[in-house]
Parts: sequence; C-alpha cells; structure tokens
Amino acid sequence: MSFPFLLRRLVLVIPTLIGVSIIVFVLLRVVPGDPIMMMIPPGATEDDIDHLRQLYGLDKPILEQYLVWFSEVLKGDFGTSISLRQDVVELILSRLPATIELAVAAMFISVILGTSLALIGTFWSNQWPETIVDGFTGLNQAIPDFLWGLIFILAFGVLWPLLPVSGRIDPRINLDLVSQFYIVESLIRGEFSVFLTLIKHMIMPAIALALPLTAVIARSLKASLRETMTQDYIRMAQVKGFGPWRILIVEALRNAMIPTVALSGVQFNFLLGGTVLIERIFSYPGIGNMSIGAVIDRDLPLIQGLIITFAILFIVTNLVIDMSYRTLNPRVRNE
Amino acid sequence: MSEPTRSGRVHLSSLVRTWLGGIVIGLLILIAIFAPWIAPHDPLKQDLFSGLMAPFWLDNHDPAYLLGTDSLGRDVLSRLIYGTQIALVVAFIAASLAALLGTVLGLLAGYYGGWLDTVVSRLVEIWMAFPPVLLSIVLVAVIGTGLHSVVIAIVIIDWTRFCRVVRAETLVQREQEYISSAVSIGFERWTILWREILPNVLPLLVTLLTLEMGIAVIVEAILSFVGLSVSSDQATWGGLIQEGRQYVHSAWWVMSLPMICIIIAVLAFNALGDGLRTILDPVMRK
Amino acid sequence: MNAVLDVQNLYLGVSQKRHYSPILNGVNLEIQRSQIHGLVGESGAGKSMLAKAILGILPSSTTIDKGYIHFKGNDLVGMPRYERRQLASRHIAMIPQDPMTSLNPVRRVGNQLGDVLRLHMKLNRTLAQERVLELLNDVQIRDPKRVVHQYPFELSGGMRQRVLIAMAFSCKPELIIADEPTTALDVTVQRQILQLIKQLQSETGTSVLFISHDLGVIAKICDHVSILHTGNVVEMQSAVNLFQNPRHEYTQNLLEITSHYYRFENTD
Repeated sequence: MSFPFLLRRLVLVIPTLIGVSIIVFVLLRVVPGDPIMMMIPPGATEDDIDHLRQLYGLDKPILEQYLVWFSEVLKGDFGTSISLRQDVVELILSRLPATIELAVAAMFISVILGTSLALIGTFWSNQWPETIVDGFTGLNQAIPDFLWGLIFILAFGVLWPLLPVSGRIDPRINLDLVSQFYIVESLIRGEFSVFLTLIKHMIMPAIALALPLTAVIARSLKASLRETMTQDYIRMAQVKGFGPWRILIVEALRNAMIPTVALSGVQFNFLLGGTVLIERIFSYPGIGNMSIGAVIDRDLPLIQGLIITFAILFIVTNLVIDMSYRTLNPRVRNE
Repeated sequence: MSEPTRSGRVHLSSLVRTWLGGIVIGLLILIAIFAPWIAPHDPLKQDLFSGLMAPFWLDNHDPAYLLGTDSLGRDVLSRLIYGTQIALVVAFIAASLAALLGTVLGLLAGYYGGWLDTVVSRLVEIWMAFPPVLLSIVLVAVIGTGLHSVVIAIVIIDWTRFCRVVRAETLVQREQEYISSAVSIGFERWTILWREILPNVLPLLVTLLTLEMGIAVIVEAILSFVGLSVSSDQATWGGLIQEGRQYVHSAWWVMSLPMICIIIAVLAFNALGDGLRTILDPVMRK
Repeated sequence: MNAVLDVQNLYLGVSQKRHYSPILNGVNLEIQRSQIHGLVGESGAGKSMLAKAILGILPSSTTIDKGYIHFKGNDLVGMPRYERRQLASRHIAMIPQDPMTSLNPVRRVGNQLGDVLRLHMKLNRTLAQERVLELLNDVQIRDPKRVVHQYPFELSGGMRQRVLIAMAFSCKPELIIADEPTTALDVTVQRQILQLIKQLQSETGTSVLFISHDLGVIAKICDHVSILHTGNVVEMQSAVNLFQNPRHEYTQNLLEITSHYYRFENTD
C-alpha cells in the first residue's frame, strides 16, 4: 500500500466530490419554500427581506452563487446556518464525533458478528447451526435498520426496560471531557462509569445500524467460505493434519474475505446513511439527527454542509475498504 | 448453496418461498383494493372519548375496535388497511419507474459504451456517494410532500440499483456470440437491444424489481415516519409508527402493529424476489 | 512382514441421490518399506479415490463399505477420526497433482512450510525458520532466503511443486502419496521433478505410492507397479518384470499403446 496509490485514489475522488457539490447546490436551489421567508420575523419590510437575501447571496444568478459558494467551501467555509445562526463547519464538527463513534461501533459489530456467523454456518454446514444463520441473515436483509431501532426501543426500552432509549449520555452525569469523542476520551482517561453509560446508550442504535450489514457480510462470506473450502490447498491442510477450526480460520477465512470486502463497500455507505434515521429515533446528537432537523427547517447552508460531510465520510470509508482489500490480497498489494 | 445432492431440496424450498411471498402479496393487494369494504371504521373518524384503546387480546379493549385505537380514537385496524393502499401504490409505481429509468440507461450505457457509458457510470458513482435516506428526505423536502413526490424521490434515488446491474449484464451479453451473429446477419442495433439483450437481463430485472418494491415500502414508511410523506391525516403505516412512537410508553401496540405490517410486506417481497431469482435464472441457481 | 501400508479387500462407492455406484471392488495393495510403488490406471479407474481413502479425505458422499487399510499396525478405516488424523497426518504425506492450486495463495511460502514443522516436529518459530531454509535448499530451490518471503503466485509451477515436495518430506514421513505429481507441469520440468522425488526418496528411505496414468513416467521411477482396472488391482509385479512380461491382458494393451505413443512422441 504505497503512497502513490493513496495519492491516485485521492485524485480520483475530486470529480466525484465536485459532482456531489453541484447536485447538492442545484437541488437545493429549486426549493419551492423560500428559506428567507422562514427567517423573517413577523412584520418585516421588503427592505429587510432584500437585505437578508443579499446577506446570504440569494439574489445573484445561480452559476455565480455556485462559484461563490464553492470557492468558500474550498476554503472550508460552508456559511452560516440559517436556523441555528452558527457557523456550519463549527456546528458539524461539534456533532460529527458522535456520529463517527456510532458508525465505527456499528461497523465493528457487523464485521465481528457477520464473520462469526459465516464461520459457524460453514463449520456446521448442512446442520442446524447453518439453518439458523441462514434464517438470521434472511431476516436481516429484509428488515431495515430503522425498524430494528424501533423494535429495540419497544423490547428493551418499554416492555422490558433495560437500556436508555434516547441521547448519548445520562444527562445527570457531569461531563468535563475536552473532546467530542466521548467514548474514546473516557476510555483514555479511565473514567469507566462514564464509559459504561456511553456504551449503554450506544448499544441499541449501534446494533440496529449493524444488523443489515451483518447479514450482508455473513451471507457473502459464508458463500465464499463454502467455495474456498473445496480448494486444493484446504485439502492439503487437512492431509497435513491441522484441526478443522484452524483450517477454517487460518487457511480459508482470509481467502474468502477478499471477495466479501470487495463487495461490501456499498453496504458501508448504507450504514453511514442509516445513521440519519437511527440517530433521529434514539435522539442521538450526531450529524444524522441534525440533518433531519436541517431539512425540516430548510436550512440550506447546513444541509449542504451535512451532505458533503456524508459524501466525504463515504469516500473515506471506501478508501479504508480499498486499502484492507489490498492488504488482504497479496496479488494487488504492490501494484 | 448447491452441491448436486442438495440442489433438489433447495429448489423445492425456494419454490415454497416464492409461493408464500406471492400469496401474501396477493392478499395485501386484495386488502388494498377492497379497503373501503373491509375496514370496519372510517380511518379518519375521530372519537376522542375512546382514545388509545387496547387491542382485543389485552384488558381494557372495546370489541368495536379489534386492534384498538390511536390517541385520537381512530380505529387502528382501519388505518392499517388503508395504509396498505398507499404502501402498495408506492411500491408498484415507484419500483416500476425506477426499474424503467435504470434499465434504459443501463442498456444504453452497456451497449453503446463510449461517452454515454462514461457519463452514466460517473453519475452512478456520484449517486453512490449520497446517503440514500438523507437524499430521499432532502428530495421530498425540495419537491414538497405528497404521494407523487415520494414516488419521484424513490425513482431518483434507486434507479442506480437497476442501472448498475443491467449495465454490467449488458456488457457481458454484448460479448456473447449470438449478439455478434445477430450483428453480422444485419439486425438493427435497436432490434438487437430489444430482442436479444433485454430478454436475457429480464430474469435479473424481475428479481430486482420485486426486491425494490420491498425497499419502496420501507422508504415510504421512513418518509411518513419523518413526516414528509402524504398529508398527515391520511393513514399510512409509517405515519402510524410515528404517532405510536410518541406514546409508546403508554400504548406500545399502536407502534408495533404497523411495524408488523411493514415487516410482513417486506419479507413477502423479498421471499418472492429471492425465489424468482432461483427459479428464473439458471445462472444464479448455482 | 515389512509392508508400510497394507490395503486389503477394499470396497468403496459413491452414493448420489439414492443411487449407489461402486468405485473400488476389493482392492489389495501392499507397499514395502523404502519402495516406490507405482499405481497405474486410466482416469476413472479409482486411483485418486484409493489415495483419498488412505489419506482420509474422502468426500462425504463416498463410503468405505468393506476392507482394511493397515498402517503401522492400525486399521485406518475403523479408527476414530481424531486419532486417525494424528497418526496419518504425522506419517503419511502427499504430493498433489496441481501445484498451482495446492498452496494457500494469501500466505507466504515460508510460513506454510514452517507451520507443518511446528505442528509435527514441535519446532519453535526460529528453529522452524532455519529448517525451512534447509528444506528449500534440499529441493534445489535457488535463493531460499528470498523464496520464504514470497507468495505462491510469485513462483513458477515447477518451483511450487518443489515447495510442496519439500513440505511432503519435511516431517520424515513413512509414506508419501504422490498423486500424478507431474501431470500439470511442462515436460522439461517433469523430468527434474521425477529425479528430485527419486533422489529424496533414496536419501530418506521413505516409501512412495506413485499414482500415474502414464506408464512412461512409472517406468522411470518405480520399483513395483500395481495396475488398477475397473476398481480392481489386476496385476502387481516388480517394474522390471511388468514391462518385460505383462501377465494381464489389460496391462499388455496398456503397454502396447504406451510404446506406440513413445515411439512417435518421445525420443528420450
């Protein structure tokens, strides 16, 4: 995984990002509801409205608006949120860590759980554990994350109240953390009671987010494990006398993971997008939750900033997936 | 899933799944069509004195309201029945239109290649960088709420699912021998596209279409849930979930019943789609 | 009795969808100590199934219906799976038919060899690494220090087969089953590989069951030959006798065809 490879990948990302920015911009310029109308206090004069229009640059031709906006974006300036009257970048940065922690936790869960299920289903193939794994993946491919979120709230929040159903942390706890990465920071500082409440709050949304991806990983990995287990080198390993679990994990798993990793990139994007609803459902203070609020408030600068943030997250995720693909597969590693 | 010894059984079980999915969807269609006759109450009629009644298997229920009432005293069963209409209409129309758009672009890009292919592929790539849920919410916010905008949002977001698959498949088919022989016989390109390539991607397309209907049901529910689907007094499954969510601690069943409806519908569409895939497509049967 | 492996009256068949088809019908095969024993037969005669039965890697649809496989005083057929694995994997090794697919593509050659040594010879990591270099040297791989860090796809077919041969001889097994080890290789490489197997065999005194459909190859390397025909060993003789004085009609036909082939195709 050489530096030129990373550089080439980053260059390839640029046209996609420009495309995203154009679509976001054009899309939001055809909004029928005028955002200015929502901001004005009752009894504002025409002059006040014009003034606001000028302030937000909404009176210029659309191409000029785009170029102005894009050059600001390049400088890291997404403007000011209309509804919250705060710098968009600051707003997003204050909420982004929460979403990153949630998404990373969900990804981690789905990779671990999906891989374990695939291994179990392969080890006991054609026996009842495989039937259970198949049933589980079938169910999870059909039921989307937000329904899981609601089911969890119903089950562990209402009928059998075990876990908190909203927020990121117990409001009674006095937080003196310096960063927004609560989980990471509380761990580093060794504040385990804080860490525990954070986990308690995160566990339901994270699992709900993780389940669809878990199913995809389990299903695809199991299929390629089954294929891998018929290979000659697996037979050689059996002849050499390695135990069945060792063969499955050391000899087969890594080979089987290569096609699964290549295929799951899109699914990671769905997981990222899933944070929008899941955060809403669990009142979790991340950028997903913020997005719905921004849409409902028709807060153009904030929506634009959020969508581009999501696009960047998506691109970064895919870059990481690409790199792990190259790490796993020695054939492409040094290309 | 296909050692030769097991293929017989796999085939049988997928046949059963297909039928099961088909029957459930058939039933849902009947419910949607005959909603005015089946529904015991007007789904919009409020009865503030009998709000949040429990369903029949719990205490504190009223036999007139089989599945209980919501906070405004509207009959939950009737709302679910009418919700079926909207869910299915969105599923069929949105999925078909998305399939149409995606297929046409995919066929053209895959068959003609060149700049057309570059543009379409690039578009798909850009589309993939948007989180779909957020995009649909933004879209509906932009074009305004209502049934048609839900449909439009689904089409605009999900055409890529069809486009990607159809394009890849067309690329494969184009290289097949029978296509070059059709070319050498002197068939028009459009004829080849229409008569030779489309039938070959059809099994895949039918499967994707069925799965997409399940997705459309979910997207409609999501938009209703966020309050951006059809107008709020119309009965939708997602709307009912959103309503039930607000008083989930006092009346948990209001939220769970529409969830069960969505899960049943989505599982049925998936079973049908997966079953059709194994039955229709000899290649994917492996 | 000095036999390393003694297969007696072995019956074996495949059942598929309630249909049973026999593959081996009472095979007898005896391999003496330090012998290279050829097993010849056309494709479908059941050579590979016999090899798999000895190695204990029969597919699940295949069953042994009758007979014994005696190895080191134990009957492998009746043994519990775990004990059988312990015994067989330690003392019976295999040189596969296709070196291109028989090494794990994502693991370094040195680790794959080293794992076997650590499992059976109980070597620690450092000792195993040293031993791997020696082994690669023994199979005449140039620059073993580089090869241990390479992945299989970076090696040629002949090189990979050398690695697999090193692996087969690494734990000083009593028996090596070589299942058509040269079929997938170029003609020039074939000869080197045959020489290598023969040389290592004579140095170590290991017995080899050498499976081939090619009498020409068998003639070059084997001491004794068994002819397998439609699930039965129809003839078992020393190689010299067999080629000069074949008894069974099938063997005679086989020899005739081979001599024709060699007259036209091969001049060495």
